[in-house]
Amino acid sequence: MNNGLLLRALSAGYPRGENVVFDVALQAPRGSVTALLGPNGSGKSTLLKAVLGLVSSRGEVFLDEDPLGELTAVERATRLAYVPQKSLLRARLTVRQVVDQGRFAHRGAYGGRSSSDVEAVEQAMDDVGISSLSQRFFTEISGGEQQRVLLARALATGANALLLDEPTSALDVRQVLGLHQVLRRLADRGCSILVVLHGLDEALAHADRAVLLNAGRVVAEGSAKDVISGETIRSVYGVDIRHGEGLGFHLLETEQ
Amino acid sequence: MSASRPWLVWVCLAVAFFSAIVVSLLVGEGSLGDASLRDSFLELRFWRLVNSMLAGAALALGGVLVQGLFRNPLASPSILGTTAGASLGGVLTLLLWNSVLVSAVPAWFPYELILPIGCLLGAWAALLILLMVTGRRAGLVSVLLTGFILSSFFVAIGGFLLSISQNNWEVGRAVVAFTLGGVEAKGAIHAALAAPLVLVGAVVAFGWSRHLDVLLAGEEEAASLGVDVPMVRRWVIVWTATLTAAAVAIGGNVSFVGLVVPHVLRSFVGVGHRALVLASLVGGAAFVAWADILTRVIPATGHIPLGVVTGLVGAPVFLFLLAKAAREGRLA
Repeated sequence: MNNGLLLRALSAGYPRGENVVFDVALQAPRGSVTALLGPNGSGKSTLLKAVLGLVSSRGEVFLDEDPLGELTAVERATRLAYVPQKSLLRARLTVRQVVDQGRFAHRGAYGGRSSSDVEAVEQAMDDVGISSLSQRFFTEISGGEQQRVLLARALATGANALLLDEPTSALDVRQVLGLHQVLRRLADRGCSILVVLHGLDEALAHADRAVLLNAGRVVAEGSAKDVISGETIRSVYGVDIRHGEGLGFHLLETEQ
Repeated sequence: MSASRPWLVWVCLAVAFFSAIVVSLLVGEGSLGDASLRDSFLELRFWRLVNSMLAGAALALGGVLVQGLFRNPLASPSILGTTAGASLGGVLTLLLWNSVLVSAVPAWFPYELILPIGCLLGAWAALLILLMVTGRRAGLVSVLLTGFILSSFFVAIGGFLLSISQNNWEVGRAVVAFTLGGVEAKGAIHAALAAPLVLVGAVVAFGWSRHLDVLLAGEEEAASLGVDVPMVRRWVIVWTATLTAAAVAIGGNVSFVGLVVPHVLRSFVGVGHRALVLASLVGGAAFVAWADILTRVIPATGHIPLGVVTGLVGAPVFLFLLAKAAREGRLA
């Protein structure tokens, strides 16, 4: 049975520090986009890092019922991809070379690039709409373009579960809609997607499900509409939701 | 040069490498015109050349590995403290030569290998301390700090030993000559000791190239892309230490090669580690071979040590690169 990503009683924190995430249980099922919401400092990024094994954690993480902790680094990377909010990459690599890093887990130490590697890189750049940037240096493109390159790198891994940490924080409105279109296509193909989002309106518009964290604990989980409700949001953020005000956008297909 | 004509850098490296071979065999004390001595001179120069190239290749490869690991093109293999450890091992060997080693080492053991083996043991002892102190999951900053402290400690002990060795003029002179570096009087047996380490080190460095390429994006991103970061860190440290130990064992303290050669070549062949490993292997060998040639042709009273020449060439190059990096805002 393919459940997608499943977390049970996951607590996580940093070495010699207190835990930041406590007893989290959540699911990011295949075929849907799950938004991970919460105020600043609620433990969203730490939770993603705990799933990836990048911070010390206790509890269980399953991907399609396989315990992630029992997979090797290479096995995990071909099944679960990660899009950081910002890359630490400062070296002069072209966009194509950065996307190509996504193929690391598919190659041996001494082997060359196979045709499937080349195809996957081309396809990923095409899916995210960055093919025209392929020869530009990563360090010389805008923050928004960099975020799209990081998404393309994650797609190039071929993984069918995806963790994204605020992937729209540096994107303009058009790019935000474009990114959610990509995520929707991936979900429709059966991918499991867990995406940290800051904007509640964005989550409501694009996510199927939502998980709301506060102070490292899950306070609500369910359909995005149910989670982003007046009472829950008031208790966590201390604000009221007013419907029917402000702007809404949709992507003009002809401009894609 | 790299953007428009990428092959040109390889041609330049090949020219520097092969010209070093030819010139090294032709230049030096003694005339090749004397038929009775020609073969002996050529043999001495050949092994001197091989050792200089092995030392240069080892240091440059160590530089590539450590710069890749620390994601800092201005890192030098000596920051791990193992170079100072190798140097201290060499100094200790020289000091214990007359009092202990001459009687303790069996007669069948080649005496020429005692000093290089002392260097290797010194480096590996330093490596062991480094790995024990930093532990399995230590961050790069602890590795860097521990390496720096070990290096300072070993240099201080070396200085202390040097000062007490001044009582014995012969030993003091040998210690000074060793610390300034050189490949003169190094023969086939030294090359036989260093060559397997350098060759395996080169294959290992080539094998880790992909991992180091992905590590350019930082340890967390690399781990998410399938790199076993603690394992890569541990083995890169072990091989950097081994390569630099091999270099110190046959060439003494040869400064700047591990830092300057990979850094300069990176701006021509790019940041990809496969090309950088190959270019540094050839470039490091050629650089030290040419530096050794200079030690023979620079007019001076007495012998100019190899480490002095590499420093004389390396320091200005490094200063230039540093100033350039600062101007372009690439210096943290």
